Amino acid sequence: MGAVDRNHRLLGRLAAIAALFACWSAAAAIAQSAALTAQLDAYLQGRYDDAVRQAASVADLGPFRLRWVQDAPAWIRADPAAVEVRRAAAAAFLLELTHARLESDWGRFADLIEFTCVDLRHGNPDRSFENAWHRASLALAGRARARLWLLGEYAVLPHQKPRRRPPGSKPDPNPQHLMHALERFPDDPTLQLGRIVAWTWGRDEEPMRNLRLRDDESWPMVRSGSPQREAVVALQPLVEDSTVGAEALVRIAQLQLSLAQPAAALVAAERVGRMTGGNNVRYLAHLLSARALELLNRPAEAAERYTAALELIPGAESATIGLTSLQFARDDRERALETVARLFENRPVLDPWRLVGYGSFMHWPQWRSELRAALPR
Amino acid sequence: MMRLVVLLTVLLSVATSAQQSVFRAKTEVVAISVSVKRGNAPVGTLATKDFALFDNDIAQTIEALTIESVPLDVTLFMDTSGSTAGALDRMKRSVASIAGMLRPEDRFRLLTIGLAVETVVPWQSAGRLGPLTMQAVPGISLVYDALAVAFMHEPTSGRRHLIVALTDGEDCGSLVDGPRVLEMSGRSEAVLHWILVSNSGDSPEYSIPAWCTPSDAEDVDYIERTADQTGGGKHRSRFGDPAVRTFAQILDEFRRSYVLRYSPTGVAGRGWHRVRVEVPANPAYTVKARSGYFGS
Repeated sequence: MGAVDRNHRLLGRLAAIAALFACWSAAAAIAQSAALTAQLDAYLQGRYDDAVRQAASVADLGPFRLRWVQDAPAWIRADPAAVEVRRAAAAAFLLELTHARLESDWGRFADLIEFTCVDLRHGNPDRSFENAWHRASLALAGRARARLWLLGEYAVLPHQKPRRRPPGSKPDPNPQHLMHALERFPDDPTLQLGRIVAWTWGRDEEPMRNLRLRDDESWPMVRSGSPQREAVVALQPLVEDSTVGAEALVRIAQLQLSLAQPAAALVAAERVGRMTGGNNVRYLAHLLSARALELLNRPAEAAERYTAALELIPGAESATIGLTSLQFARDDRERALETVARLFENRPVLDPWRLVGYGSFMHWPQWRSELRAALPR
Repeated sequence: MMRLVVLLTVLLSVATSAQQSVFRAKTEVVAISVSVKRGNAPVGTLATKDFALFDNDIAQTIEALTIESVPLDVTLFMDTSGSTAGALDRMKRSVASIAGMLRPEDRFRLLTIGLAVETVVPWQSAGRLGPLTMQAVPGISLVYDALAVAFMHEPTSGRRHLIVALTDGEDCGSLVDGPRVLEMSGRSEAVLHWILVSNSGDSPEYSIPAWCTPSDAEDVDYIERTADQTGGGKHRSRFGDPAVRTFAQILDEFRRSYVLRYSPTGVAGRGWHRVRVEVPANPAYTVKARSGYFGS
């Protein structure tokens, strides 16, 4: 009997511990839920940075992901008179939070963005807000170069024939986020450009430099240049567009450089000079002109273009390194040493060249502002 | 180490021969860094008369030889891009260990890379290293740009510049390319040693991936070639203690290497000068020297 009593006591203790753990878990879930609700409230009230900073400070994103799926829809429905306002605020908050944790946690946010996108599409969102939201999400996916997530496995360029999934193969698991956006806004040139740029990511396998390519399986693909040429064809219809024409030319110039066609790259980059496209795009055009001119063995003109780029964005690292490395190699050592010594003193935060491979991510600061401005009140 | 075409006073006296113009170039000083080993042991007992130096195959008179005593400017370049980000904590410990090996009269700086080339530790006296704020930024890997920045440094008179790069050597997104880095090294006085460290598989699972600019499209390891050209070399190691030990070996060898100075005579001033150094009396010695320089 004594042994039975002991077993009962032991079971009782275990039950008590389990109950305590369940209470603690429930309390933690309630606290996390309350925190998310408070953050969404703060964002709705226009305290954007505070809300995002608090949410981004969480060490473990696992509980947040669960809370988002369970509690964000409930928070949206909590005020029936302002469902669309809240839906928009929640969607914008998620993108800003994704940006705050983008470098390390893109993979944890991608499915939440798509979850929110579905919710947004099934609601009745303000059109200008929805458009701004899609552009902002495109920018973030650009930093991650999430081609499959944006376009899916069987993506084609606008001028290409559709590709079909082979019979018997598994369905494409990718959400094709950008294609949903294009269904909603088929005439938006920004999204159209984004589609072509995203299509190029990884298409040429983009081998790392300084690898011995003889051993690289992608070598024949790299040498063919076929995907880059297709992308150039796809970009051509956009070059006359007043919104994205300049950037389309910059993308063409970059592709031409990767095809070892510096003369064609120069023609494309030089056309940007007569167009409007913002400082970042004009900076890139100067930089690409300079690179093309270097390859064409016209170093003096290349130096002029690097200098022009630095007039647009003083102290920008890429043009500084381009210019000084050219000076250094041309026996203008003193000037190169003097300039590069100042490189780290007063450098702008954003260097478009460092971001050019990340699609429209270089536009994130502007597009975030537009996203906030488009939030329905 | 080579003091490259310093105060290049090109006294181009043109002597005309029947067939072609012969330029007599007078460069103030060219300095060539030379390490001599017997097996794996540095040989530190040689004098000027023991060396033979050829500039574009023309024998030169060595005017001065120094060893050991000169203070160093040491640039340590650590690749903190996504490809090596998993080793960040080990990197920090390694930096502290490496800085601790330097002498008080030496100077030290630390370059890292993320979305830009960063100077985590600007030039400062060795031994004053404070807390490090290094962070890993996944994505591009600006190895070439960092090396370009590293080469664009001129030590003050009487000092030597040693660059040690801890990287997997895989460049993505740099503005300059491999040939430019190689060319710049021929115009710099620095000696580059590349410690090849690889950390595949340590990148965080959910972080963003790398992207790369088009290939150099040649079957050339530009970093290895650059290191060899400067009189340095390529060493395979691992992050952490092994890399620190490799650095210690490089530093010891560098301190015990010779600097031969000469004024080039009988050679054209401009263009690439191929330099060859020998120890004729001891052909079994392994002699490693800068392989040349660009004259102006």
